[in-house]
Amino acid sequence: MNETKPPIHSTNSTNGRLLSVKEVAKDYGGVRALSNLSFHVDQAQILSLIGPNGAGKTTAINLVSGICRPSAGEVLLGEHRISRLPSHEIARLGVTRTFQNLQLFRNMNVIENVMVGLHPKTRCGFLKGCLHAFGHRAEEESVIRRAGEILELTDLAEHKNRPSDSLPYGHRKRLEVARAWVSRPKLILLDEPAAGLNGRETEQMAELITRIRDSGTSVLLVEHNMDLVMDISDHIVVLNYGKKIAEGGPHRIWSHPEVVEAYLGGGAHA
Amino acid sequence: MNRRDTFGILCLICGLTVFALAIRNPYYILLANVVGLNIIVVIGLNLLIGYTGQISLGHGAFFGMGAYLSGVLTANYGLPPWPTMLLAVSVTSFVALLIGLPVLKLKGHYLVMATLGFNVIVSICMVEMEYWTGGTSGLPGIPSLTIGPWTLDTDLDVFPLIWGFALSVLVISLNLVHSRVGRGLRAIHGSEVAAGTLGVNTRLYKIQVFVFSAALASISGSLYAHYITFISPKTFDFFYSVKVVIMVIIGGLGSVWGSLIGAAVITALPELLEMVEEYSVLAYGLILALVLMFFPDGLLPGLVEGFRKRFAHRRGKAGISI
Repeated sequence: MNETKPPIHSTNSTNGRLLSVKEVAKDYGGVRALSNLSFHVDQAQILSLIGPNGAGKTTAINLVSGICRPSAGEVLLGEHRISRLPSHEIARLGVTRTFQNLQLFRNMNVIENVMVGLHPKTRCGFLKGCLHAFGHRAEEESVIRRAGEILELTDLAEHKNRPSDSLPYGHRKRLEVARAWVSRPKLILLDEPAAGLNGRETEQMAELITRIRDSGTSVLLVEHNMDLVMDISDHIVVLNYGKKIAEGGPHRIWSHPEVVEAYLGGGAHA
Repeated sequence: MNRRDTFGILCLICGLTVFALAIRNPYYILLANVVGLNIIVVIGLNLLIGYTGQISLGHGAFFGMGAYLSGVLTANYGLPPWPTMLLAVSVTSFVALLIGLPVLKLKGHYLVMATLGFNVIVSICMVEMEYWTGGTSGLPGIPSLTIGPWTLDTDLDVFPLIWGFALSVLVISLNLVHSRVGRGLRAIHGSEVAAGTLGVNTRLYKIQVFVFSAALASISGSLYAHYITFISPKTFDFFYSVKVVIMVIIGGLGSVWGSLIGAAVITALPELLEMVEEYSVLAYGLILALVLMFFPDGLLPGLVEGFRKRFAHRRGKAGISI
């Protein structure tokens, strides 16, 4: 297997790597979910992480978003080491995510869900909140405005006052993406955004993800829908049994015999 | 706070004024004062339970700490009431912080058990530290509060003070729940993991709201001590903690205005029905069961929804007939 680029630290961080995952391992008890995983995401890039079930894709996303910590190795955002930070600080540095099984705030309506997503961009604290203090109003207005804008962009504006769990499934999937995108982060981690969507909804989702990339936010995508992955990815990393078995551009990736074997089983010929 | 809240508060102030002027029977004023004191505790607790989703069965202890710190220091050591009250709130908040740091890492039933354990410990202290607290026979001779030359020693004197506090707590809490922090608290209730990944400092928020609700309970306790001028451990036992949680649930989890209704219903109903104390437990159980059967979201949200549906239904019918 050929490593395309040597993993040398980029000197120019604005033009180079956004996220670097370096030799990361994760053990759950005695089970090694990831071992020696390295890859990087560039600015304004869609990088897809694919692999069979149990390959460690969601674990990788959990490590980057601070939900769990690597047993070894480190994760860098630009030059900033984020692999020991709690998830709310990682969010403040510009990394947000969605979840494989929806994690919407069911006790809140659509626009409130999105407004929570603006937490990293606002400052009002407990005391100021209690006292409705100076500056609070302007911030609130900007939160409502920006949340409204993102709902327009994701075609959810007409539902903004509905309880979030009264939305149809496809809308809820989009709402979760909107909630992660509203703070205009540097990187969004999407954990199976198209799972359970029908054809038309999947197309909409693909379009939305490309639009996120075009707005300057990089996307780390975990997805089983290969048509979607091949369509929109700039770069693909393939995992199997917690190890990286290949990486490269879409289409070229299938020339790796290991990839074909992982997906189609041994004995298959490319 | 939005326009509807402001309107509600104005109505409430008018209602309270009329009540104070019209009611001559001091017993009803007393009852209204106790409702006011409970409202202060219940609103704080609703922020913790209803908004943030962290259940505490230990707020009777914070209520008791406020009462005993104020009571002991003013009755036994002659400290001035108002500064002592401030001291009591500070000490209680600090204790809440120390308790909250480890305890709020727990979830669900474990958190309930831990806070309950804390309550039991504080109750035992109240009984056993007899030298200061007077033990089971209670602590008499707590001075009434004074404002300038006035001593607030009748029910009607204390009424504006207690309700002044209750209304302030109401306004502050309404502000809070409609702010960025209020959204963060509800997000923690909805999904703690997701809230964290969107930049909500879940640990900090949980501790802040826990300490805040404990501080409110402490203020209410201090006011109670100076108002009744006598305190005994029984008032602050585990059952009080259960009672305020019932008020939160009856009023509606996550409804600040509902807390007013919850506190009023649970405080006043057994009294007005002239229940013997032992039977009031039965009444709480019955009220809770009935409310949960017919208004699972609590009295206020349930009634509001009911009216809305009825109204919409009628309008719908009218539309068809045209």
